[in-house]
Amino acid sequence: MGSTSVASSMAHTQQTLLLPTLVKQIKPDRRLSVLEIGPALPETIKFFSQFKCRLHFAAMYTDPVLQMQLGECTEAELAEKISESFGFPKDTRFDICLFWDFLNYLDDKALRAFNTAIAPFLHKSTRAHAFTVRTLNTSFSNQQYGIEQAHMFSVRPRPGKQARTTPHTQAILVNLLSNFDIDQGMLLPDGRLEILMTASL
Amino acid sequence: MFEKHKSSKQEPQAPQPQQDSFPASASAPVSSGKSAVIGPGIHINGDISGDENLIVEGRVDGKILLDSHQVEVGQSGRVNADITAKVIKIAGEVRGDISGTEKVIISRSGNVHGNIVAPRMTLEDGAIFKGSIDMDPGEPVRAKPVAPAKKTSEKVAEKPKVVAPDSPKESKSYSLNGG
Repeated sequence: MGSTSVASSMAHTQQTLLLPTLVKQIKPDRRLSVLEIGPALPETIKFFSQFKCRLHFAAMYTDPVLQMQLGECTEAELAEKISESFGFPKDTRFDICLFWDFLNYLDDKALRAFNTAIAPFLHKSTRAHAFTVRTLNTSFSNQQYGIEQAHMFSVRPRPGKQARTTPHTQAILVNLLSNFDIDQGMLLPDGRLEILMTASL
Repeated sequence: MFEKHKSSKQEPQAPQPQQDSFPASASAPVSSGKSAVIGPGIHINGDISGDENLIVEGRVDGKILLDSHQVEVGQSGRVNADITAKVIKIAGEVRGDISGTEKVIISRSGNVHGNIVAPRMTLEDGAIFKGSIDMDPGEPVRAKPVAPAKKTSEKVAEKPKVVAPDSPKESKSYSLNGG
């Protein structure tokens, strides 16, 4: 059995009360544009296949830019590298961004660079989902997420070594990720916060 | 260059699907009884078009255009080309844009780097995909009503608590895909 199969067999589900809010707002007759920061998982594709949509997968967890933040490159250089890594068509404007826990793998400089890099692809109604923390001593497991149903995520172990985490509290996050405002937050039993954000353009 | 055979009478020397390739039933032709096979030792540099199904077990650099037929990239197949076909099944490696007028399936051994356009798309567990997927199921489907949370036998996280954001804001009304 391959490692992926092992990871798949170790998957579990996690209830979400916030994602249904996003799903309810989808207009079924309009094309939806979704950014997923993470690998393409079968359940996520299956979930969105009920909508007329374009899914963009940016496998940022395994992207070299995650390591570059530890180097001496400037914020502007890092923003440029992230933009290159995105490679989205210029006219792309996301309706939904699924950041999952990716923001906690970015230090302050990298998070500001990410904020700059993603700005051209947002519109005033763009909404985003992410996990952050209530207190800085909250740890993140090496997990990847998919959408089983509107109210249910799938959670699987992420293959490979976990990158260094740099959790941000809500207050810090809104300062660094200035293109978004936090609308709702849910405290999870493990100390993480599930948040919904809206672009603040 | 192409080895042709009837799907119902498979030639003994025809490349056999490997363990992770699609099952024999999955490679049934879409609209005719014939499939062309590019064997594992064949490398085609150029465009391919035609009027029958195609199985790629070798390497193709160029374009593949089989509008009303099926293209199957087997586990040993390496395609560096845009593919247009009715049904596209990928168990090997593809670098290029994929347009399936009916559906696209990436099996668990598939590795695709490119953009996919198809009304229906299936990604099997373990498949590697980087790019975008453009899906259109046809008739607009209303989002299914969210079932009330209930306990199941699966491991489910405890019900989370509500926390007010740092800076409480007025209630807003949003609509997506309108920007």
